[in-house]
Amino acid sequence: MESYEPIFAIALFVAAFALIISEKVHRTKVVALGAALLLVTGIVPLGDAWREYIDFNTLGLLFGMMLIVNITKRTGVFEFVALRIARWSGGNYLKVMVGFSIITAVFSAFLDNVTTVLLIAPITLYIADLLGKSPRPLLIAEILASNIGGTATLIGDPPNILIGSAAGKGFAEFVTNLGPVIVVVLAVIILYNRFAFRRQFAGVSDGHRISSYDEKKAIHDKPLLIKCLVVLGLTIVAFMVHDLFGLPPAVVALVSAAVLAFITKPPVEELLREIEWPTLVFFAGLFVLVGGLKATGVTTALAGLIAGSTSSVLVLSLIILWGSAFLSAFLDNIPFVAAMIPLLQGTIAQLGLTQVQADPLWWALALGACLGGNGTLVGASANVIVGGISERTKDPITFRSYLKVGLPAMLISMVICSFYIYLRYFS
Amino acid sequence: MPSRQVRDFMVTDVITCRRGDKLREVAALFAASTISGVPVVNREGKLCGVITKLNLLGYFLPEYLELFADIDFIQDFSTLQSCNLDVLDADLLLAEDVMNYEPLKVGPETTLLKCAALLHKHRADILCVVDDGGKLLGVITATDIARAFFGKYTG
Repeated sequence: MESYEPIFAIALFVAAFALIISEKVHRTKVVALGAALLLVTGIVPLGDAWREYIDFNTLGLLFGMMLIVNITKRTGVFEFVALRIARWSGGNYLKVMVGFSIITAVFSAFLDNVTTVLLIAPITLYIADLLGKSPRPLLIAEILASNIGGTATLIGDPPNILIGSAAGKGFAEFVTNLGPVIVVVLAVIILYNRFAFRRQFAGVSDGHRISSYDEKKAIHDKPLLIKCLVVLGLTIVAFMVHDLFGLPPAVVALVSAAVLAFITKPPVEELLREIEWPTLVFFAGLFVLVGGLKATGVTTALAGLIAGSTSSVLVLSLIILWGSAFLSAFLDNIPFVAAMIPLLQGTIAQLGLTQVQADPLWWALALGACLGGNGTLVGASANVIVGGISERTKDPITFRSYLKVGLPAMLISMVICSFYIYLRYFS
Repeated sequence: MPSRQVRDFMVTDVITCRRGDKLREVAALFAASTISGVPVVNREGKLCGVITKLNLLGYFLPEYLELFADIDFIQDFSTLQSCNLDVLDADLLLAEDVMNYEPLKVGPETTLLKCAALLHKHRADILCVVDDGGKLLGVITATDIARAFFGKYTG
């Protein structure tokens, strides 16, 4: 290896990160060029990129879930559930916030957060209009809930997919390790929302208008819905037990998507057109960029530094938890997590930790990277999307108005997670 | 017929309005006649926009409706705060609050067939005919074009 190669790999990664943050160039274009440069200089040979660095389990899982969601959302089932919850709330503004927070969290745990908020935000605007109230507290509650819910499962948020794949953590492991703390965080944050928006939630809501819609009409395709629900049910079961059969999660997602596509009507061209190809290419390019850091020994060297200065795994876990959270609140968490993974793997190896000893480090990374996204309006894609939708309403969410609620919420959730990590893994 | 120019078929005595006109008065124009749209002109007669029936109606419908793939589930729109037709009574709304700032426009020598193609492609009802300086010369609607093409069958 030439001596310039590690420096080149670092410079490329840092430059890519900076460009992505500046938002001057689309992130996919940035990593594609970066990856191409690594390939052409031979720092990352194409064969290695293919065999070693590009994680096809992640790509397959993302692709499979995108297809499943695309097919299922055509049934209108998400709108139906949201409208049903609003009916249950009887037009009580507070109950709507609680109900919508819970279903946003549950949906986000199984679908990507962006699709979840894209489905629930319009319904939220409609229900708020019906009640004669501002949608802003509801939308903010949903942003928080989507990031929280997405943290609970392997498939809920991309950082978890990356971590699960690298650390060999299956669906059931995520649920049993992160599920409990996420349920607590969600409950506390819902209470926090009630407090933060206490002025808006005081007062009477006009409930009778809830009868002016019929949520059953939101379901456009009942046969399709039944097929989707059956396949989804089986998929969740398969996810829960995939570890027992040694099946990678990506295979579960791909089989499920293929079956669903086979038995349902939407044409292939339409389905494939709706796949977020830029996201998949972004991941592939990012894997190569990180591969450059691995190939040139940068990650091993940095891991050595971290391992050398670590006195306790508990302290390291908490540093990772809080550090990831703050980084994630301001920056795109995916490149950060992608780079952290080889660093952590190297650190774990150099400290000679067993898998059980190393676990809290991975869970800390997952919790910090996913929940940190709640900190600011730009912390996660779902936040930005809801912010955009809210801009055209009479009471838009501003960066500052969100920060006043989101940042404390994020800090509260980090405190809860800190206690959880200590209590569960170190005592 | 299709290659005839729009200048020979357009309507030249056009009902127009100014940006600062009260929307209530523009709405009255639609109610009183069968016009498809009202071009908005400035003092010199230059075209600045157009108000169509859909522009007007659209103002009273909530914007978030476009985020939905389908709105079948909404049975009763009158309960929505945003659907308040009475807001026109207050005289606070002006033509410029509702107008389409980028109206479809063509020159006087444009052929009828091209006009038909533009209306079809943009799913519009009315084309404004302007000179090189942007001054409004006339309008032509889908109805006018249909009459020109298919008038021979009314015999």
